Order: sequence, then structure tokens, then C-alpha cells
Amino acid sequence: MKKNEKIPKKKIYAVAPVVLLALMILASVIGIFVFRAQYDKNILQDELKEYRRYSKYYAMITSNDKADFWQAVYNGAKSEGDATDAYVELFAGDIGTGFSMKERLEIAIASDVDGIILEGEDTILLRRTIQKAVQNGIPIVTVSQDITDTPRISFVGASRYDLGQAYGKETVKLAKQMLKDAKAEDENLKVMVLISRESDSAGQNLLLSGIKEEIAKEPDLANCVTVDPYTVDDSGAFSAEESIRDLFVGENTASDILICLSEIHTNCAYQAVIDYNRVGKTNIIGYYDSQSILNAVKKEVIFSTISMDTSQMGKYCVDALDDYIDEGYVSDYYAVDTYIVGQDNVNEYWKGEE
Amino acid sequence: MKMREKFNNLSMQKKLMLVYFLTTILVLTVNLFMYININVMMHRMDQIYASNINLSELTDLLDSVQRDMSNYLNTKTTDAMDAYYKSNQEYTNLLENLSDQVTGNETQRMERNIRKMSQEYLGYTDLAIEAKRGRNIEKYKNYNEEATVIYEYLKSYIAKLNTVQFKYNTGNYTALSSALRYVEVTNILVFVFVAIANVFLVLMVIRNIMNPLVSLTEVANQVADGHFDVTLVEVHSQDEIGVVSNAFNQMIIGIRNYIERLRTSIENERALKEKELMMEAHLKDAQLKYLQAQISPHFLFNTLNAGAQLAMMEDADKTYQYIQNVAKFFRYNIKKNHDMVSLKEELELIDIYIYILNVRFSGEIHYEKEIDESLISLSIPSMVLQPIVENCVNYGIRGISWQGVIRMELYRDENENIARLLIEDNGIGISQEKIEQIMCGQIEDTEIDENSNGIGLQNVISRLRLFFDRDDVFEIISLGENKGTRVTLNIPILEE
Repeated sequence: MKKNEKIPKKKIYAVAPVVLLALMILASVIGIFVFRAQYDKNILQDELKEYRRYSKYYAMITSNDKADFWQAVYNGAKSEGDATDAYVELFAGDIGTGFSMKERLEIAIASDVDGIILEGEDTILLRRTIQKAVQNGIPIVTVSQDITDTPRISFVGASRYDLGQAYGKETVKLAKQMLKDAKAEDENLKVMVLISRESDSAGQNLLLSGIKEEIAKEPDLANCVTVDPYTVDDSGAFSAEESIRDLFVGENTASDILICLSEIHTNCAYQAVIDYNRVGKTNIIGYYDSQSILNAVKKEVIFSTISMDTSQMGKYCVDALDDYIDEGYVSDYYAVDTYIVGQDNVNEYWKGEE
Repeated sequence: MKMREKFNNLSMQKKLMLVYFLTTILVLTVNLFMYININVMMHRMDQIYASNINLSELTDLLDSVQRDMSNYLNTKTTDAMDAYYKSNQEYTNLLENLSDQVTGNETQRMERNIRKMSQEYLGYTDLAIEAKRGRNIEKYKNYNEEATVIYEYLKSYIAKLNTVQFKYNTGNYTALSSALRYVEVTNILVFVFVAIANVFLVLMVIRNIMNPLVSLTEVANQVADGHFDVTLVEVHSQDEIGVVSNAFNQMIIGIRNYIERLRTSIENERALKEKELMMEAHLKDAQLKYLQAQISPHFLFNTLNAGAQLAMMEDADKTYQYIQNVAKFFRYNIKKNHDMVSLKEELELIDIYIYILNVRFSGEIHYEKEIDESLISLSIPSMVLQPIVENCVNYGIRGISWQGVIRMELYRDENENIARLLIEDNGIGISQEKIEQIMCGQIEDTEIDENSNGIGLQNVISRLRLFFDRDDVFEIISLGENKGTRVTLNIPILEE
């Protein structure tokens, strides 16, 4: 009240219209600016954004882009590519209706990429396409699985023999434990190694012999443990799962130890063991340390799993291609670190339920 | 403030028009801007799916290239070849619009891949056409196969890009439409605000215009109720109302002045009347006093006449003379009780009065007079000189041991154009204190002497002052102790 009395009424009349006018203009201006801001935020953001340009463009072609393992490898390659000015793309996996690896490789070649990272798959068609790529001057690095006798420039992964030995050691450990728990009449242990039909046969042989050698080193086990390969048909879609389930149908084929060499196989086998109520009877030595596999290790459905440093794997792929493009030559083999996750150390890798 | 003054000096019509235009222009401007913004948005909306349309065109052209190539391989006609080169050219032109950069943006990478694949594809189709022209059957079949494979890949790839872009564009569309809705709300809010503010603005200005009118009305009402002492209307503007207010103020001032003049003239008139009334009252008072003093004057005249006749019959001349004079004295008193008489009559009365006194007091008073005869016709109030002489006798010369003299002189004072009448005695004189008391009217007339005819000096002075309308008409001075007193009457000579 006092204030009102202090200010003369006439002054209020003089000032108020000016203030009102100013307010009106202010409201309009603010409205316009808010509108502009909103507009820019929603629309112009994408258009104005300067995307990073890369000097090199690498395609990565794998059998299963969605698998955690390959996603991890891709992430490793991608971050290394970002550091060396190369864009790595999981190539053409989601184009059209499921192109095969060979077709995707052809698309990559037609797209004139600077380099290709390829998961090895031992088929004649793929070998021919690799040949074509090299003719077009596109270097190819194989990863995880090699295709020998092709002009690929390098292989990134663990050596099949070393991997075999690692599996062999785990098998011995598991077999000893099983024999200790088992009764006298069950002293024969059947070990099945799940091998992909389309993988490089030379590599498979190396791996098998690695396993066998390790078992042969143990005189207690040499006589009572038999190691056989089981070829999983994963040429078609979903066929791997069916193929693994077949193992459990029919008594004679039920094995005591299953050795899986890929993430998919491990997952399939683990689910089948549960579904066919073979927990404790059939033990699994798996591959890769995805959360679901680690979970199974914790639950003791999977005895142990052998994994590789996936980001290192991705990094080496890019390094190999960069080296080849820059220097013209490259090491034939990049060894990736492997490690075993079992009951004793699973918690180190466990990141919690997801 | 200058702006305000300028605004105030505008006419009312201009003020109202100005307000109307101002608010209208403001609203229109805001409206226009919003309209432009919305228009831009609409235009963008139209553009959103343009990239999909371009891709469809690309696919169509790719189909034509493939079809024309097959056509030529089938028929080897010139028309087919022309058609092939034409669609080949168009397709190549369209490819120019595609990005050829490897970036973090998926669309741009896909465009680059499509561009590269298309170049590869066109390479094969060209080779196939060439081989067909060269009739190299095996080669053109091979090239055709290669081209067809890439053609299939390309179609898939473009379809994929189309999907990706559609997704992206749909995202844009959603964002745009939500922004549009937002703009709608903002517009409404701004409009509402501007409308309210406008109402206030108009209200303010109208108040600014109407307030002087309201105060003018209030003042006018007060004036109508008869209060002319109102404070004047303050005038800030020079518009119609300002002019009316000014005129109103002038009117009030005029009325006030008129009233003031009227009041003064009434006052003057009243004063004049009052004077007249007072003169009358004093005369009445003198007459009353006189009547109180006399005992049936007619009886007295008759008695005195009888006395005079008796004296005549007895040959007592002196007695006859005396009684005649006494009768004259009283007759004068009775006859001349009008308000105005000539100086001559008054002087005659003094003669009689002195005679009577000298008879009474056996010739004690010596009376001298020196009169300018040209002045004796001047008018003065009646019964003035006798009370003065009576005072001279009673307070001046009564009881003195030497010969008492009363001297009367009338002369003209040429300088001031007045007649001076001096009445002097050689009595005991008068103190200065007494003179002041007399002049100030502090001496009461109530103590009337037994020898007086009842009219006091105060009465005389008042009547003289009222009659001649001047204070110095009556003067009294002492000539010194035992030397007498002089009374002077200053009678203005009115020019006929």
C-alpha cells in the first residue's frame, strides 16, 4: 500500500503502456526464439551434424553378427579403426533376405571396400570369392577361424593346436573329477567335440589332436576316455541347434563330455542338457564368456569355458589390414590371448544378471 | 517524456487511431512471423520424404538399365542400344547425387556403397553390350551373369537404404509434427498474452483520454452546486478535452472576478447607506436630547410671549428684549431641527445665546466677532455652534477672575479653499490630554450640565465629520494655561 502511495498515479499511467509494449515484444521474441530452438533441436540436429570422415573403409563379415562374441570382436575392431581413421562395418548382414557369407563378400568387393575381415568358413565358393577379392586388390584378414591355402593376408585368432591343448587340459581335469565321483562300472567316458561342418578341416584336425595329446599324457585316462568329433550341420538357418539336439536323442549317442568350439554351440548344448535332464551326467566345456554362458558356469551346468580376448581380436584385425595397406606386407598370424573360466574364477568375469 | 508530450498534444481522434494502429500492427507482426515459421515447417514436411522418392527413381532407372541391356542382348536392335545408353546416362547422372564419402553416418556409407556397386555394375553391362556387338557369345553371357548378380545385390541394397531413410524420415516427421504442435501451443500462448496486453494498453490510453474528462465533470458538478472556490482542472493535453478544460477554467476565473466586483460594489453601497443612517441617528439623538431637555416648548413660547407683552406694557424695554431673545432661542431650537442650516442662522443663534448668558451672568462675557459675510451662506449641520460656545463658557471662562472673552472669526483660507470658523475664549485653557480624549471620542456626553441645552461636544464632532466626510473638520487647541482654548471648524467651500 505504501509503495502505491509513493508512486504518483500519473507516473504509473505514463510508464505502464511502455512496460506493456515492451512485455508484448518480449513475449513475441521469446516465443520466436523458443520456437527456433525447438525447431533446431528436433530437425536441424541431424542435418547440421558434421559426421566424421574416414580415409579407410573395412568390411567385417561373420557367420552370425548378432552373437555376443562377434559383437565384442566388432567393438574391438571399431574402436581400433576409430583410432586409425578407418571405419569398420559389420557388412551387409541386414540387407535383403539373409545373404550368405559368400554373397556378402561379393557385395563388399563390388562396393570396393579397402579391406575385409572375414570369419573363416571352409567352402569352395568362399575360397573362390576370396580369390576374386584379392584380384580386385582388396586384402582379406581371417578371424577366429582360418581358411588355409587362400591368399588371405593374415589370420587373427588362437592357434587351433594351442586351443586343442587348452581344451585337452580342461577335459583331463573334468574327466578325473567325473571318474572320482562315478562308480566302477561307468569307467568309460565318451568325449564329443562339436565341429562345424563348414570350418577349416585342417584346423579341426589340429584341434582334435591337441585334445587327444593332452589326454594321452594321462595314463589313467588314456584307456577309458574316447574322443570323437561330432559334425554339427550349421549350413542352414537354425540347423545347428537341431543338430546338437540330435545328440541327446537315442541312448547310445549320449556322451559324458561335450566340447563346444563356438558361442552358439555352447548355448545350444547347455540348453539341450537342461531340456533332456542330463545335468550332472553330461558335462560341457564351452567357448566364450557371454553372460548366459557364465551364468551356466555358475550353475555348474557348464564345467568351464574357454574364451579369447575379443577386443584384442578386433584390434589385431584392423592392425593387420592397416599394416598391409601401409607397408605392403603383414604377419601371417596374430595370436590372441585365451583364458579359461571355471568354477574357481567365474566371479571375476561375472558382471551380474542382465 | 517528449514522446509523452507529443502524444498528449495529439487530437483525440489521432490518439485513438494511433492506439488502434499500434496494437493491430503488433498483432499482425507476431501473426506474420508465426505464419512464416509454420510455412517453413510445412515446406520441410513436404520435403521430408523427398529422399525416398529419389531412391524410388533410382530403382526405376536401375530396372530400365537392366531391362534395356537384356533387350539388346536378346534382340541386338539399335533402338534397344539407344534405350540402354539413355537409361545408362540417366542412371549415372542420378548417381552423382549420392555421397561418395566413408563417414560415421549409415546413410552416407550406404550411398557410397551403392555408388561403387553401380559403377561396377555399369562396367559389367557396358562390357556385356560390347561383347554382344563383337559377337563374343561366351563373354557377353558371363558379363551378363556378373551384372545380374550385382543388379540383385544393388536392388536389395537400395531397398535397405530406402528402409533406413524411411525410418529416419519418419523420425523427422514425428519430430517435426511434435514441433509443430509445440509451435501451435506457443502461438496460442503468445496470442493470448498479446491480446490481454493489448486490452490493457487500450484501457490505459482510454483512461489517459477519459481521466481529464472525468475530473472536468467532477469540477463542473461542484460548480453547478455553487462552489466557485474549486481548484482549477489541470490540463496536460492539448486535445479537444484540453481545450474544453482550458475554456472551463477561464470561465470559472471570469465568474470569480465578476463575483468579486459585485461584492465590492455592494459593500460600497452598504457603507454609504450606513453613513446616511448614522447621520440620521445622530440627529435623532440630538433632537431627542433636546426634547428631553425642554418642557413643552409651545407652552414656554406662549408664556414667554405673555411675559414679553407684559414687559412692553410696563415699558420695561430691557426685560422685553430679554424675553424676546429667549423665545427666539428656543424657537430656533424647535424650528431648526433639520439636518442642515446656513452658517448665518447658526451665528444668529450664538448672538442670542451670548445675550442670554450676559443677562444671566450680568455682562461677564465679552463677545467679539469678525465675519467674512461672503461665507455665511455655507451650509453646516444644525445645532453645532451653540454647544461649542456653551463648552467655552462652561469649561473656559466660568469662574475666571479676569474679563471673559469669546471671539468668533470666519474667514476664507484661499490655499485650501475652505472656510475657517474660529471660536476662541480666554479661559483657563484645556490640557492636551483632554483634547486627545475629546478628539478620540472618549468623553461621554452623559454628564450633561445643568446649564447645557443637552447636546454634547461628541455629538457635534460626529455630525460634523459625517456631514463633511472628513476628519479634520473639527480642531481644538489650547492657547496655554489661563490663555484660553481655540476651536476651529474647517468648512469646505463647495463650488456651486
